[in-house]
Amino acid sequence: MSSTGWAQLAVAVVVLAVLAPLLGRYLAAVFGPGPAPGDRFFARLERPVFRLLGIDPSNGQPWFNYARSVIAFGAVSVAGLYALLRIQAVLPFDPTGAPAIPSSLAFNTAISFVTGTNWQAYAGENTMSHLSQMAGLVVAQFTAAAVGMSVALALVRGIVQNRRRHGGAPPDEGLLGNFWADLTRSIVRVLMPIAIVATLFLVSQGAVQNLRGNTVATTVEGASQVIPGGPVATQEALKTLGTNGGGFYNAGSAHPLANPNGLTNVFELVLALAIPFAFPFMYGRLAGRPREGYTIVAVMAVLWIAPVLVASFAEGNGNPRLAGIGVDQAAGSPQSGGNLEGKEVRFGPAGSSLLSVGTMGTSAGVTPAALDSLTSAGGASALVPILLGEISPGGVGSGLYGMLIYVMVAVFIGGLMVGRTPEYLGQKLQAAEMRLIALYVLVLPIVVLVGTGASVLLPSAVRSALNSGQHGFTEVLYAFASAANGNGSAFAGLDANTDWYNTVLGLVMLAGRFLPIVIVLALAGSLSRKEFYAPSVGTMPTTGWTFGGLLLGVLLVLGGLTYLPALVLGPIAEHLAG
Amino acid sequence: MRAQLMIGVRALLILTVLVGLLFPLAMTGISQVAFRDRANGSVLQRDGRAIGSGLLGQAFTGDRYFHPRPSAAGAAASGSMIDVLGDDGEPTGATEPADPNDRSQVASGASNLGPNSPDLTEAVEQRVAEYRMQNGIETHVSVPVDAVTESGSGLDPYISVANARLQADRVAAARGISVEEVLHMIDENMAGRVLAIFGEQGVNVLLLNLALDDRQAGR
Repeated sequence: MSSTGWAQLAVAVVVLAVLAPLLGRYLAAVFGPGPAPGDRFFARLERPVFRLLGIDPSNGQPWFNYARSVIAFGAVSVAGLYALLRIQAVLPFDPTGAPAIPSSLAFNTAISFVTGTNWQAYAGENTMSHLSQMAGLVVAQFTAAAVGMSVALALVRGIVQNRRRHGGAPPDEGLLGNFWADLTRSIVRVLMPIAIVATLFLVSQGAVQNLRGNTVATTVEGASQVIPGGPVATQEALKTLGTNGGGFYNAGSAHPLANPNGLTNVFELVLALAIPFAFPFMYGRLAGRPREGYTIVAVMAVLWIAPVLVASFAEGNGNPRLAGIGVDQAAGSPQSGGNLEGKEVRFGPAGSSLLSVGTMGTSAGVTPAALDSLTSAGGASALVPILLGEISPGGVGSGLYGMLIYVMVAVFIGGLMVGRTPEYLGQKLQAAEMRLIALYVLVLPIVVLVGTGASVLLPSAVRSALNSGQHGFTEVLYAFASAANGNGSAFAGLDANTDWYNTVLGLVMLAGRFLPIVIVLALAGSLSRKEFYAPSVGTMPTTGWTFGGLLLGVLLVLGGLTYLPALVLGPIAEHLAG
Repeated sequence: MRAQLMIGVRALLILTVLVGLLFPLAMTGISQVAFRDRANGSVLQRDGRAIGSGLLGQAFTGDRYFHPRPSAAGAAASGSMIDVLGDDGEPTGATEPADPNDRSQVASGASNLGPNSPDLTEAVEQRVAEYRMQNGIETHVSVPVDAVTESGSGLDPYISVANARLQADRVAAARGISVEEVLHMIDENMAGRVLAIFGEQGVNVLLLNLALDDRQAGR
């Protein structure tokens, strides 16, 4: 990796090391019981919203009601977005005259954005009206992130609640907070303020933000060139900040009018990682045990940096198949070198690997480069964080609740090893909890592997793959992994705008998002009613090196056992053939 | 459930107005005041007409100009000429500008060919041969990788400095100016890295070509 590659990585790590704990402290104040910075200002914005919604924000919901609200809001959002996409042709803010979106694509896209996946079976420039992009897709990007935060908060409250149980049940026993209040506060107090700053910064660097159609330039040699307009920067900010990933243009963050230079490239990385890395810090504070948060952050960070380094080296080394045919891929002062197929000169292999693989573990899946053209090792580095279930550091909110499930798996396995009933923060994990946890761990792999298996058995679905052989298999596996885990990036050679993929991937995204959410909320409900046991000398600590190592081991063993056969057929076989 | 659905409808409507309309419109308003040129795509004007964007790559094929990277984007997105087809559906040999209203021609994008793809190696081999022929480069000299691979957007505004230097002889000969002068202009137009570490150094092809034209026109 080049020295500037190391420098960019170091800057991102240092900025995050400062930013995430501060943001975590702010989040803990906003969502905890006490006062928070800016209360007076934000309360003035929130009060009319609560009144219009007709809810009392202090009215806590038990898990079942919380889940019902999440699902009701999800259903309304999918229906609303589907309708908007179907009738965009007759609505305003459509300077290029985009036609209505066909039903199977609208179905897929509506689910995709409401679930925070942002799988895009279309090219933004030639499909979406400006209204669909800003009042449809960006709204879903806000709400998907806010729903993720809300569910994580509900789980945290479920875990934390009975720590206050000293002599009798607390008055709010079994209540996980109010979903509508969490949703509103997440947007008003967290996402919105950051999004404003991020948008204006991106525009200042050259990202487009207007309501125009296409400016048609007559080029120097007399051809016509379309310079597409639109509310690009707002979507670019939300797609990263909310770990959604769905950009305005087909090329995503490779497009110069969305991600203009090396600085915005690193900025987008930090933006995507900020909230996911802040959430464990928030959790530690709300639990009154900051070290719980540090251990989780450390495990997330290890799993984050390893694939980034692998990809940076692999992409920097270039494609061996091009070396023998007169192509110079060596890094030197007049060129970055490396595997530049599908990459931009201004990012080079280092910046491309940093933002693409660096956001794969966040469920954003930002693409400053074509993932399909990464080397086999680079492509695997993009795929593995998705397969691990988006916990390095995971999506906004969803990263924390996903990781907490694996923390409890590790606690359970640790408990088995020492022969004690597993305890997590003073509550015994018993059969009821372990059933839910096992269900959570199984849902996503089943969806991914069954979907991939069904597709490779269908000749028409196989023909959708652009590349043949192992790489074509990886395109299909990647699609299902990305859809089920809420990532949304693609090995884009796969032509996914077919009835089969639009429908099946739509259903996969629904299942991959809402089944885990319901399981997590049920678990939170179960934990919130448990007796509190003060830790004794025999309690296994859930902080420190030993537990961190155990957690890391559990994640790698579970992920490895589940997906190794599929990876062998795809990127590993491809690497051996390279 | 019915009550929750109704709250959901109200929430979606309120949020659509708040973050789906007010937020992007306010950001557009501020951007149009504070960063007007950039918010509108960094459009470059010549004689009062748009000639391209300072941030977007643009197709060049003539010997007088530096050539950008190969592009997988639509012809109207990259500003490429397309073949005129005869009545029999075969190319007539003539070319014309792509139609900017043709939706199939406006998307950005990459080739998406995998690293082991035979299509990729074949395309690269052909581009290497063409690049050597156009620029008079001997077969023992390797060609910079950016010159023979397609970018992520298909609209990469930059080429590597190594790539630009190898094209200098051809451009100088076609323009009848000295190679030293062209090399000097390449150095003057090096850009791409922000604050010394963010990104990689390259040459913006459109800006370099315009600078060459301006210099010769005495502007």
